Amino acid sequence: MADKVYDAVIIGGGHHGTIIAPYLAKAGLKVGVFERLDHLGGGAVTEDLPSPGFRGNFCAHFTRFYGHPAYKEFNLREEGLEYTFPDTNEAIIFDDESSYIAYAAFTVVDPKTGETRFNEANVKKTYDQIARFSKTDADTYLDLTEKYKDKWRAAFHKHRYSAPTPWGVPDALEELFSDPKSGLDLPMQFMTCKQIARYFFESDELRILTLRGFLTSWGCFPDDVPGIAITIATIHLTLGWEPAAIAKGGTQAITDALVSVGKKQGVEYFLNSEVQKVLIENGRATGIKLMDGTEVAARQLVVSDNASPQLFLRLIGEDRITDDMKRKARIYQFDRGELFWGTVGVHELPQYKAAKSNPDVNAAPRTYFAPKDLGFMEDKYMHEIFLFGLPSKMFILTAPDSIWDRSRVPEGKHSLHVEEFTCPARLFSRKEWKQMTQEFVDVLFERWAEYAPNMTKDNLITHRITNPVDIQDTHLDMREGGWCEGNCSGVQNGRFRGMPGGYRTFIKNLYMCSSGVYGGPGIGRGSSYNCYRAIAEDLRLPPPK
Amino acid sequence: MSELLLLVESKEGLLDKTTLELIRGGSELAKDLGIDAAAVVVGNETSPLAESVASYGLKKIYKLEHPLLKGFQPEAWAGALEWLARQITPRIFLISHSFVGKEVAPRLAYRLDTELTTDCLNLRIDPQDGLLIRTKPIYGGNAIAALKCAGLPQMVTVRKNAFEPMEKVTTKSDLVDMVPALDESIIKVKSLKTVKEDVVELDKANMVIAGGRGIVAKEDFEMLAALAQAMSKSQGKVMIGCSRPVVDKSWMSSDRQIGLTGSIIAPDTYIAIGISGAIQHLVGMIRSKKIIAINTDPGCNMFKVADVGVVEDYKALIPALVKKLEESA
Amino acid sequence: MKGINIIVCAKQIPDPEVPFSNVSVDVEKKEVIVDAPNVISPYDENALEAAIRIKEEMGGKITVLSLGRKVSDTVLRKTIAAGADALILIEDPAFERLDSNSVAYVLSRAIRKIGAYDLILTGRQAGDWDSGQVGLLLAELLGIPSISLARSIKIKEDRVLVEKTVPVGYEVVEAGLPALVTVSNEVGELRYVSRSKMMGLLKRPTPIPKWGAKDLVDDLERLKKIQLVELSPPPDMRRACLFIEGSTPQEKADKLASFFKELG
Ligand SMILES: Cc1cc2nc3c(=O)[nH]c(=O)nc-3n(C[C@H](O)[C@H](O)[C@H](O)COP(=O)(O)OP(=O)(O)OC[C@H]3O[C@@H](n4cnc5c(N)ncnc54)[C@H](O)[C@@H]3O)c2cc1C
Ligand SMILES: Cc1cc2nc3c(=O)[nH]c(=O)nc-3n(C[C@H](O)[C@H](O)[C@H](O)COP(=O)(O)OP(=O)(O)OC[C@H]3O[C@@H](n4cnc5c(N)ncnc54)[C@H](O)[C@@H]3O)c2cc1C
Repeated sequence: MADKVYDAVIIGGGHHGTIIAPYLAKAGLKVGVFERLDHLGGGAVTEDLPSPGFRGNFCAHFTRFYGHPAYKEFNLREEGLEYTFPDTNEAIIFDDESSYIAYAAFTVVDPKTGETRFNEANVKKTYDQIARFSKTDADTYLDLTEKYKDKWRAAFHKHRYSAPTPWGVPDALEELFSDPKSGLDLPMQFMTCKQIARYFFESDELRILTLRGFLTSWGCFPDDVPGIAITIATIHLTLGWEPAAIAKGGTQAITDALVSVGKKQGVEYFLNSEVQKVLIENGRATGIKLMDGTEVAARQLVVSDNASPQLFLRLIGEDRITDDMKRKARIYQFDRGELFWGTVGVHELPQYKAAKSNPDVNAAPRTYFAPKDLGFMEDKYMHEIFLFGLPSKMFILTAPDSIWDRSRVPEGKHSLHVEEFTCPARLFSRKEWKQMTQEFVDVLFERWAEYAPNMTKDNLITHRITNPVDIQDTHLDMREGGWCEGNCSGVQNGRFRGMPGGYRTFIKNLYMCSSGVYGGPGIGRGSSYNCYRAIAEDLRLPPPK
Repeated sequence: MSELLLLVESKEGLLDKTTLELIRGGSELAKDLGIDAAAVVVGNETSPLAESVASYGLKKIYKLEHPLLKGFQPEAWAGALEWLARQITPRIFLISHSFVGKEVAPRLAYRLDTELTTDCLNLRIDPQDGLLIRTKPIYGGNAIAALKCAGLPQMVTVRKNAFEPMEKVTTKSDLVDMVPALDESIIKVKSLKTVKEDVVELDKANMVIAGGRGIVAKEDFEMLAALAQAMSKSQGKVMIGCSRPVVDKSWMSSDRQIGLTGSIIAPDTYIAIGISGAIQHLVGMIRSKKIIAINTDPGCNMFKVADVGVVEDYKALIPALVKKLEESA
Repeated sequence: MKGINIIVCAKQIPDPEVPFSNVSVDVEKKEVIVDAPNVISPYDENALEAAIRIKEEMGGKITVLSLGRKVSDTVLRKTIAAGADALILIEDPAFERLDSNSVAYVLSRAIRKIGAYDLILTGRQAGDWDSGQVGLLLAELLGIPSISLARSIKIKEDRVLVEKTVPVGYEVVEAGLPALVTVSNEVGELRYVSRSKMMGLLKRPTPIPKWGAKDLVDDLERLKKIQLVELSPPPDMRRACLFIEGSTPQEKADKLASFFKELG
């Protein structure tokens, strides 16, 4: 006899677990969510970081959840999920004091729904910014902006929130290849990041930002093959088309809003409840077993918010899967997207030298600072990271969110989010990671002060920088401590992501909704939404809006 | 070659409990093999200790006496024990995995051309060949190895608490005087002075409150002290302990360190504050009756072995706890 | 004494500080499988740190010896970055799973091959098998005095002065050189080598000699392996943890206090 019974049992109350729960409950199912940690949200949480008085995001920081269909469907704005939209967008500052700021080509006109409008004035501003270092790239910007507006944008949205097409049937983005006006063609699917950056842009400035953007958004290093979806997402970042957005109160606001909706729909959430096994009878999932022995029956389905290796090798179990699945799950790669990451609390915001000629760089929501050394970024950066953990030249991303969201800092203070890439956890010992993290902080401030003289350690109040070991130890599915549940390029990309079957595993009634399947990693991406669609089809539930 | 021999140790002149444990373990092994169990007391004046160990059912007590054996000088002790072993050729030689044991056993094993296994948890005889099967934790305690070695005597050091201490019996062991041939020349390491420090004995506490690397400032140990003070009203003898990083930082002396290379304790209650639960720490406290963990990281190992857990910053929790304890006292 | 010749023995082991969930036991193959990168055994790092401090004070040379079936120079190169002058890898398939006596024997052969030395430092125990005897055995084999559990080491003319931890506090002892000292963590952690220094080093590689069994051991029969009868996982240490919930620290503290009340 089971100890508890639900129609739908969800393994993991992480980001995608908290998204799919209210969908299932709204369709009339009794839903139970079983989360290993003492809090919900997985990668979407905000804590007292770096120290009480400050609020920082332990994992995801940059989010645009207002674009997710659930935002409207569940009226999350009413549940307290509010975004603010700075006018500035991406910015990069180089060591020669030159800089670039992108202004959002689409700006939000209705923060309740996230509705946007094309903003000519901002496009002109961005054009001027680029023209300062490359007229050709500025013209490319205009050209691509048109293409984005007319072709890419709708295709991209559709692609994100619909299930992958079968092999051979072009999906929304692949269809663009056969449209001569899209500016995209098939070989781009197989170009490396380095080639993409060189193909679209001629200036070192935009090439560097594009290569760094590939990392920021997907953990792809210059010689990785990103595929078309990631390519578009990255160019979109370089040129800053969609507005940067800041969730008030941090990423936790997303989780809180989703859980609030879930509770209203009757979802029951259980914390400190690590799942050990999926119970399977005659090829059907019938429930789950927790570490403490509790058995929970699932009348209709079990949904897993886990990455493939954990789901297949542990929760289903090696004895139940074929040799082929075993091999595929074992070779699933986790060696991209590892970060030094965290929040620093400071007395005052950085005053960049570059602001003399480009004042807005002091208040851009995603500001990179980096040496203008394309050759290094292209050929040496990743190698140094894998050999030493830290590169000799750093390409740092910072986010001065406290400018727009004062709830995250004590009166009169500021906080900035910082990010730089590093190597998989396995390459260094625990002790070395601790020591390297300390060195990272030291070097960070040395470099920062070169770009913004007030960013010395005297300006620092507190910091909490996490490294891959911290992430790996707290997040079972983020092996090696990367931000994604498995590399996002090559065979772990697009319709190939996860294991054959995708949302529908080979076991009947067992579904996978995590960022480890199509839709990919990140907050507000489509995996759980698409998974719900698959479930709705199979069980004849109402489709989502 | 018929005896099992064990080394007697004392603490402040009295018989050490670990010796009683060795007697229990040793007597059982000797019985299995059908041989006698004997002990050796080392010193310049061995009678009192030999007398006290004589009532635990051993066949013989060797009194290994020599002026050079005053106090504890490892080379002299190793030299004397080597001499004795050559006289009586014991079949098994048991020594505690204590300070003395760690110093003497390897040197002695080399000199007797045998092979030593240190820090054993359990011992048994292989009925096939009569050799000792030595069980010891490896990888900090993450695995348990059982191994055999050639060579005579079969020699091991034994971890504290591996056996229950022996009780007294009515019969008395025979006392045998032995005067080893020793001279000054074997002592190559000269002791200049011993500096006594205030040493705590954590195994005497009912409750141990231990801080780890999570305690960010040395002064914050005062919070732990205040908690100990508040607890002592209801929990008996309360002491402060720590994990190794705290010793590495010289915030505490090594007698307060709990774990594989520190003390191994089993208090009624163990409170781990800002300690992640590395295996080398766990082996030192896992036998505590109740384990309470306070840590900011819900995924840390300490929670996996704890009875009660609080996910909270100690800086906020401890003062609040002290306040509450004092109010309700 | 001017310039001291120190040999440090440093073993390579899987990171002993990984959580126990990263360690598993293959009962059949009698192998411990550790999902962790290799590191220098922590107490051997302490030994190296002690050596570097002595060298800083009086000059001299530090040679690091590392023995194993397969020893990775990438793990051990760090010793050079930190301040050692030479690194010798002693590796051979014949060196797999040697018992302590045999390890000490091979090391003693390597040290004789090196020739002159004043001081040998080892860690108090290795972080995998925790045996704590190789240092003392090695000293016996070389016929030199040995001191264990050092928390500080000083050289005074031709003597070594050691503060060692003893149960009542500490003892100050001295011995003539050459001598062997086993080092405990109290001497302090191995200094951190910044990444930029490591990078610089990679550009100017130091030659790292490798010695195998045939270079050191005439009679391979003399090498004995650990005879494992059985290998098993440790007893399950897990307990069902009751988490105390609360929205403020005070609320959690109050609940915890009532838990203690029931205990007391
Ligand atoms: C450092 C870092 C920075 C990031 N930055 C960004 C960013 O800026 N923008 C962005 O969009 N994304 C970012 N991400 C990625 C984002 O957080 C993830 O893509 C997202 O959280 C994935 O959602 P998920 O549901 O697949 O996994 P998760 O959110 O990790 O959810 C999985 C859940 O399952 C639980 N679980 C695991 N095993 C079990 C079990 N056996 N039993 C019960 N529960 C279990 C976990 O505890 C977790 O709560 C970042 C991630 C990290 C780590
Ligand atoms: C051969 C060998 C022998 C060893 N012997 C011993 C031994 O005898 N004893 C021993 O202890 N170790 C020993 N070690 C070391 C051991 O491996 C670990 O490194 C050590 O135990 C870690 O100590 P820690 O838990 O205090 O530190 P960490 O592992 O760094 O853990 C610190 C903890 O504090 C928590 N924390 C941080 N901030 C706060 C806060 N504000 N409030 C609450 N919690 C917080 C963190 O979440 C973390 O869990 C040995 C190692 C080896 C290799």
